[in-house]
Amino acid sequence: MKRTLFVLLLLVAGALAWSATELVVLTNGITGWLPQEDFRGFQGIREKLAVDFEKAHPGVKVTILYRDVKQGSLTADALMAAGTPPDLWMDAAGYFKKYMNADYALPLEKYVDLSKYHDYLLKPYAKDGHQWALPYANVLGGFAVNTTMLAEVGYKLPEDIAKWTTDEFLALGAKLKAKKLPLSMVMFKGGMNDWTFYFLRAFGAEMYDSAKKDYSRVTINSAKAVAGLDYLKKFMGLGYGYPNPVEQNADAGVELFTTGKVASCAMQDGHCAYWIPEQVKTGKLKSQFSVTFTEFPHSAAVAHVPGYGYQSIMVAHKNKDEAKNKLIGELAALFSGREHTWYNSGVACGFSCLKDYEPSIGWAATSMHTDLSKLAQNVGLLPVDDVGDKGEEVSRLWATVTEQWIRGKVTTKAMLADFEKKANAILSK
Amino acid sequence: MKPRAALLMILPALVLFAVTFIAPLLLVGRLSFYQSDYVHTAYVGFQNYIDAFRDTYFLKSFVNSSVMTIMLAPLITIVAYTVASAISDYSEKVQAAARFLFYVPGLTSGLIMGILWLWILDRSGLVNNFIVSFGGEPVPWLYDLWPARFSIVLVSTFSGMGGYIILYAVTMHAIPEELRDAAKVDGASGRQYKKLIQRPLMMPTILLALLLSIVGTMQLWESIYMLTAEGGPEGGTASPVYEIFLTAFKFGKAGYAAAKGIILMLVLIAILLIKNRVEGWLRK
Amino acid sequence: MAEKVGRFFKAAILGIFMVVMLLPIYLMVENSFTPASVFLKVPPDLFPYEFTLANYQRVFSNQYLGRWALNSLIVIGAIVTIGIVTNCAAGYVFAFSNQKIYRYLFWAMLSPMFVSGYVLIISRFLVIRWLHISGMLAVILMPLFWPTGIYLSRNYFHSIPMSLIESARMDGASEFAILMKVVLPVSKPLVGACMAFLAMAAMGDYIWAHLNLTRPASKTYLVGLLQSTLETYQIRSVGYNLAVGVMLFIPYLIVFSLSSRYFITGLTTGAMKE
Repeated sequence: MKRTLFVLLLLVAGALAWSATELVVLTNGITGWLPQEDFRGFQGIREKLAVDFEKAHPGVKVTILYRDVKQGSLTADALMAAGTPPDLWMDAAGYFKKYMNADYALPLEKYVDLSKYHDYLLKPYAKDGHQWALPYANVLGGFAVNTTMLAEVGYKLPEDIAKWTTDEFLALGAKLKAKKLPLSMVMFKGGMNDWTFYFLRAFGAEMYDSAKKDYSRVTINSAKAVAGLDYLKKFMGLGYGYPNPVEQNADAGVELFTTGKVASCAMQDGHCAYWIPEQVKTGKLKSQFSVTFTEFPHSAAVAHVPGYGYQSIMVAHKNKDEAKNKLIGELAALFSGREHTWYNSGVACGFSCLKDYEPSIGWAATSMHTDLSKLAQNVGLLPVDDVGDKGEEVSRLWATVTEQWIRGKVTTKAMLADFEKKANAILSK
Repeated sequence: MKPRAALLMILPALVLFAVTFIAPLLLVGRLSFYQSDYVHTAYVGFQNYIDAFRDTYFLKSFVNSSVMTIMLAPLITIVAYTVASAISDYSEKVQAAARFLFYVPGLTSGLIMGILWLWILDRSGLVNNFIVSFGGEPVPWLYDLWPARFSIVLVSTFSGMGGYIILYAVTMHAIPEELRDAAKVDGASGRQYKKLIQRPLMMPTILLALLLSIVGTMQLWESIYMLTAEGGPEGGTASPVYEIFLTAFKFGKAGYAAAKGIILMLVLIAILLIKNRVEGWLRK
Repeated sequence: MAEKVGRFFKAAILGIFMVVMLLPIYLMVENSFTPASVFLKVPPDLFPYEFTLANYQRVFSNQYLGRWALNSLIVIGAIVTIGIVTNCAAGYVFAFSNQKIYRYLFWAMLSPMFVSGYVLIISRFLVIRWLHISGMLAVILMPLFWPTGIYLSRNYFHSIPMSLIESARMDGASEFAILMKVVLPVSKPLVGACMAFLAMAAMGDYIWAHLNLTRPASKTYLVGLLQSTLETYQIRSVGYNLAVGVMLFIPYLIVFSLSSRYFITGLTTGAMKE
């Protein structure tokens, strides 16, 4: 009995401590690469900025909730269902499709100075003349190549990207195989992973018609995809890929590349910047090697294979109270402002979403970082597929069928036809 | 016992039952007739249930769980029973110590142990090292269908074994002394006693253990998630609960997930009823 | 002679089996003292290749660790005390009442065992919010209803001689008083088992506690520590995760050690007396 009373008392006290205005921020729990010290004693940069905001606005409390990434959208769904959506939600863009509209979101153009952000990063999240989300972190990825390993077989990447073809890639594979070195990662654990999809992109195949933004059907059942898949099979058959694709996913790709066991792999510069020195420290790698980020080789069907990029964005929940909306807008600007961007770049190897601000401190000061940004500027990025939750189902289906394919249980054409039928069924619901 | 007193005494449990189970269950039941992502809701009648019966992933998850239960139940039952039977020949102190030590592996967090198991079962992990040192070929424990299923069963065995050993050991111990002494007097050997007297008396316990292992395997997700993410090789280790989780929190289909949850519940209740029938039939 | 050899073999096999069963735990403890970052050494060493306390230092550097432990103690204390009383009271009614409705209610109350937590979690969250309950109270409330406890206590109470109860009734005691002053005191094994099971269930509740306790200082021991392994997910440090595993394991070990006798008897009453 005593304990119950004690607990009840604690709760009453807690409820009474609740102050005038509270802003709730929901975010994922992914923090930067480096240990806590870099956040100057705070749990993270958001906590630090929250305290700054509270000091600037007495009587306002900012609460930061973390969504456990492994639990999917559980936390967010529970808050939505209970009628208490977070005032500001910061997360990977994929979660927000159903929230970026006038029913839910605060039109941010009224409360935030949008001129500070890159237009091309604002565009995907604007509709009907309103800015429904603000990008705060930009992640870029490209094709990482271990140039030290290539030099071992007397090979140098062609200066002219037109010469970096899929046939050239095979020739390089043969050279490396002579020295028992695998050229690249082919990752099929739980199905074809996104980085391995480059083999299909090299032949011009695409999952959706991104140019027309048509997400009502998949376009992967095409001769181009067949060409790409046949190439992939050939590549594996010749022994140029790291063995046992069914056992490798992105984590394995990063580990194997950064320990110098494979010559190339699609990834982000942050993976290299952090892990290569670590591997040397723990003795898994003898000495650091040179890395460059370039395009994935292309077939005759396309001139370039763009890099990829995705953004983390924030969506604000609209409020009847105008004063609160103004506060939320200010908080949103703060969490996507210079200080936050500094941490995102210097500590987490992200790229800035702000115009005229590209920090080159910390991890952002590496040559890999500049390689990637050059790549993004020269070749552009893959368009972001705006498919939402249905896209997840289609991805899962793709994973299932490609796994069967790599295990040799279904032919290429049959697999694509079957996938198209089922995927379109999902998308049409 | 006076009815009014009874009602008062049961009231707290009843209120908790209503709040923690009945009310949420009714909500879930209601939700199962809607298509919802918690933002937009639309009534769809039985459509979710019809879709669930056509959902190959969902159906496969039942197959997976059934297969893994068929692999697990005999393994854990026979081994636990044998071990319990073996230790019952020792002194009470040894028995208590053994029961304690066998239970300890079950006290660890599944999410943390997953790390260790990943390492133990890796292509160049502990188990394969062992096999190779005897001249065998490494087994892709987590990358091929049947080895992956076996791995999940293995991990479940490690964490669950202790509980079953205790269950059997204690029930065996509770068999009245007179029966054991009578058997001795009649000249029955230890083996005969165990076969002719102990086993039939243990039948209800064995069936209970079977039921528990089925219910447990259908609701398993932690080790599956840690060891064989994304449903496992060829989708062969996904459990119904894993599917429900994906449906709700990855594909954002709350109503559909609710329907699947109801279906799972009905399946488990059906299994319970079958177990009671079998038990009644065995008694005859 | 043959018998002795046979016995030796049996003991040896049992011994080896036990060592194998305990091996993962040993590996967990051993490697928590190594600076393992990401992958552990292959083949494993029996003793740490480089002994370090760094992982444990990192565990203890969590600024809220003490708060988390305190929160958990409060939660566990509340669940154990309230849980035993409410569930045993229900078991008492089911054991001693002749009314037919309670027979059906008994089986109905066991049904939660067939519904997984994930299926109900959001609905539970909704119900709790409607009742304006949140935070620690919500975390305490959910595990309080414990069907297994009702089952165990009913079975156990069946074996209590009615004479005890009748005489207490004749002395004019209320039913509740009989439960608290007569029945429970002679049901030490049951109470011990209930305490153990309830405590371990309370300690193991991750998802629900995570959902309801969002402020860093208000989390429970389990949620706080587990989250700390997930937060810096890109610096996966296996050594740290295993140290957390050990820190989570110890309370369970303590609870189990203290109550293993009761634990075992608790299982008996469930299994035999159907």
